[in-house]
Amino acid sequence: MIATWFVALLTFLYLGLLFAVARFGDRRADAGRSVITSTVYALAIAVYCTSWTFYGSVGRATTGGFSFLTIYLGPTIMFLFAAVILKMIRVSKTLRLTSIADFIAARYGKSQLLAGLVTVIAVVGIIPYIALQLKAISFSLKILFPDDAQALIPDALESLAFMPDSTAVIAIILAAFTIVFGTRHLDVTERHEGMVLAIAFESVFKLIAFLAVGAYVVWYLNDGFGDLFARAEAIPAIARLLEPESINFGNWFALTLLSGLAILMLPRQFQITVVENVDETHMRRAVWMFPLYLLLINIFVLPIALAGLIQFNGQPFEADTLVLTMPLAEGTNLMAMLAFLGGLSAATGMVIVETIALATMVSNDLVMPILLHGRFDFTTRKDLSGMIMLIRRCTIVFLLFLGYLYFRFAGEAYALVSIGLISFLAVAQFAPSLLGGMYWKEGNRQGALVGLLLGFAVWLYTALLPSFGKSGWIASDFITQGPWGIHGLAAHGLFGLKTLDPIAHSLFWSLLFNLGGYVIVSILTRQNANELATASQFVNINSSASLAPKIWRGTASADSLIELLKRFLGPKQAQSRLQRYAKDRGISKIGELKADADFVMFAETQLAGTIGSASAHVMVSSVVQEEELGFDEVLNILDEASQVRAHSRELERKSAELEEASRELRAANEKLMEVDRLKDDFMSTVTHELRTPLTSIRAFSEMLHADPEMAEEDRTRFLGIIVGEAERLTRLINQILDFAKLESGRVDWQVEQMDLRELVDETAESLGQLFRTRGADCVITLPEDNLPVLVDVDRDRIKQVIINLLSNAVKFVPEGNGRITVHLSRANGFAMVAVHDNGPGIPEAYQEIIFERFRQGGNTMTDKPQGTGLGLPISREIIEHFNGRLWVESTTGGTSATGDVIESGSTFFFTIPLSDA
Amino acid sequence: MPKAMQKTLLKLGIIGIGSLLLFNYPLLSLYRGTIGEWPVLYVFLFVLWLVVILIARRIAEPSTGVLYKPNADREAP
Repeated sequence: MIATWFVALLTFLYLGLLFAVARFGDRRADAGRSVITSTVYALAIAVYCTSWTFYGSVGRATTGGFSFLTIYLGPTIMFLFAAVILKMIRVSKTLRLTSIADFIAARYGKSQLLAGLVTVIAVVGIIPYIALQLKAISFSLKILFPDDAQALIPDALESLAFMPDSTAVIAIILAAFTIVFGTRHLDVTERHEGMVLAIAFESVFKLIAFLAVGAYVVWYLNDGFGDLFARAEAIPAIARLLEPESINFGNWFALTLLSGLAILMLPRQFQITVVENVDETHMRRAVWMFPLYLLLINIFVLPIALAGLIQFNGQPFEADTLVLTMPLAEGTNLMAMLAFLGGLSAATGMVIVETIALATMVSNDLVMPILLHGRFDFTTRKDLSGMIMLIRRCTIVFLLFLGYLYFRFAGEAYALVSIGLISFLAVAQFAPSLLGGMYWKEGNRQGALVGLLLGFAVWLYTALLPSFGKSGWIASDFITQGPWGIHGLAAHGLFGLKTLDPIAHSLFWSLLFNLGGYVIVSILTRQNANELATASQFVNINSSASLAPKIWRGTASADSLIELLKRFLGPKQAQSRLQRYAKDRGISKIGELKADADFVMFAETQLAGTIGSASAHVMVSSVVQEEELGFDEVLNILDEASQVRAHSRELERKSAELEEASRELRAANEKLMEVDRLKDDFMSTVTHELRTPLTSIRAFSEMLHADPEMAEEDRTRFLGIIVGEAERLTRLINQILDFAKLESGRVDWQVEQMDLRELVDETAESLGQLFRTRGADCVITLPEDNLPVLVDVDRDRIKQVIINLLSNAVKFVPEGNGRITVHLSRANGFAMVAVHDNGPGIPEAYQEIIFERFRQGGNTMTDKPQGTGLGLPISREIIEHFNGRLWVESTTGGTSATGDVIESGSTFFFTIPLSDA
Repeated sequence: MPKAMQKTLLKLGIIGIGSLLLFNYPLLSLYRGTIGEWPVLYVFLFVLWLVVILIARRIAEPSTGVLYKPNADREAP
């Protein structure tokens, strides 16, 4: 048994720690050092996991097997559609929206009626959910202290007549926390950094607590996962929970969709995810970290449920509190305390954020409109900021009091136990008007109103009232029999649809009516000018928020707007924001501000952060004389705005094109420089190549000139050398000219169809004398079919290539023992000529180099040049002109791995496409 | 919105649609029986869930895995 004082001490220590964390966060924020990092933001979003998760998931798993996971898979999937969440954040930041009611109202022309309706739905749907958290706290205390309802209250105070129970004490502490850290700023759009840090801390705490209990149950009370699963498999009633057959897939999909919508629409989620977001990039982490959190907090749910079912096999037990009762039953008090504090943190986190969110909605969208429209004369007060703050704080207390009352009133009733999903259903009704408003410009106020009313009515009838009926508060016949015995109107079998689970049934009909009403009425009715403007701003917020059209025309006094701001924001705050606004526009004094459309919009947006967009619009309208803009006028303005956007896009496109063009120019310039360098290289090589024979001619001529007595034999030899070098020089110049012509594309190609067989034969024959002089044999092998090998080429040019290859071969074969083979064949639509020689071969490193200009195989420093170095490059140019290829395969000889002698030699191949004919 | 951001959001959306199919009928109905002593459905759901999270992390925060990156830990104000 745990001592009462010890539990009380730990509870208050925990709550004290929460205050300390929040205080730390606020102090850091005040010092300009924000504590809201992307990790803190992602953890704070886990406020989604309430005591319903902490205790309830295990309870659901004992009867529904895996179905509890839908509540967490839905949000996981929804967070992957981060584009939707980012758009919500962007719209809210731009328009300084404070709550989901404000968001929907702002989209539909800042309608107070719509904001009020959304607030009412949220309050009706969420207050019981807050009550459920208080019930969880109360229930856990009851398990720890079955006989003492005032366990957390010192005995000396228990005798006081007005002293409430322990749950009320915790509710009071939570109200104090919410007031201190949730209403620090008048402007709701200013962040509550301390509160967010405290919520993130609670998320970590409840996760650690749940994982600790899970590990305790799995490894301390049992022998691990395998043991638990094996024992569960042995009991058929439990084993069926682990099979897909236990899943109702229609219900599974409905719950996934429902929880996916709830993660966007629940007021507390909107508060943390959208309003408290300080940096859009924080979503990058939230996208995966929040789902990871959900995965971790669920990993032990089924094992704990199985352990409970095995332990209490067949006997009645309270499944919802297994997390707490299992350690208690084993007498592990420390673990029981950790579980209690984990459940407490899950409940308190939800209560704090949900109360702040609802209080903002109630004060801005219910209380303020009543005050503004009522007899309250706000013009007599110079500073309303204190009063607004008081209203918000009173609303917090009132909402928590309502939650507490509902908890006390409902007690163990079904209406409270089942409220989790019913609350989800209530907020899911916001989805059509909120999501439709962000992506569909034609959606209008009347459509949203009708859709919400229909959805809310169907929700009341098919979800909330049946829970009252099952609690015994009202007659329950209508649930299955229908009112007055009309079966088609049965709350759980509307229009005869009885196959769906009650939650899936309610979701289907409420969303169908809601969406149907929204779409049909929006199509049938027309937006007013104001709505049209905001619709455009919401839908186009991603394209460019700064280009949003300012649709306003009228006369206003800057002084009265300034006065209005000072009255609602407080003089100091108003002064500071006005100065910033003036500075941005290059105006030194606030008094010089002009009441143009921009300033009116600025004033309205600033007020929206404090009293909501709908009330702000009413207040600003009260001090300016707005001229009604015609629908066509607004359309024109929007058209202009979209033209501006189009121009902006056009500019972006042109800028991208310019960048591309400049990139291409840079590349072209680099290519030109490369060509220039090649030209220089070419010139220098040509000069060098010309100088070599010239030097030789000059040297021998000088020798002949200087020595008239030279022997006849020497004279003849020298003259022979001079003639040879002169011939080489002529050949070189011819080839240079030829190559230059080829490179510049100035060759006059005489293309004709011809038989390559004849050409090869004829060319080889014409070089017969050369072969004989060198003592080389030339063998020609032609296709055996004797059919012509027709190609479309310039006869002389191809002949030039064959001559070039054959004379190269002759040059390199061994004198007296040379073997040259010319082989002609056809393959794959190409004619192929292979010229093989048994020369020394070309080392692999030179096999590609020899096709470059003035490059030859061998050592250029020591070997005597064997040609001009232009023959092969020219040949390749010619062959490539006719879409063919020219390459070499060569070996320098040696011995193979098996010991065989490999003969050296080279084979030059070229291919040319065969004629089509 | 920058193009890179649009691309990231598009990729995440595609994973979202894939997850919607993955975590629903009929795929879920295929996982019956056990792997060793573990129920296949339990293993399938949690492993797949983790895989989706890891993919989302890789898409949304591609540089998180880098051990050191200048200013990587600096949060925007």
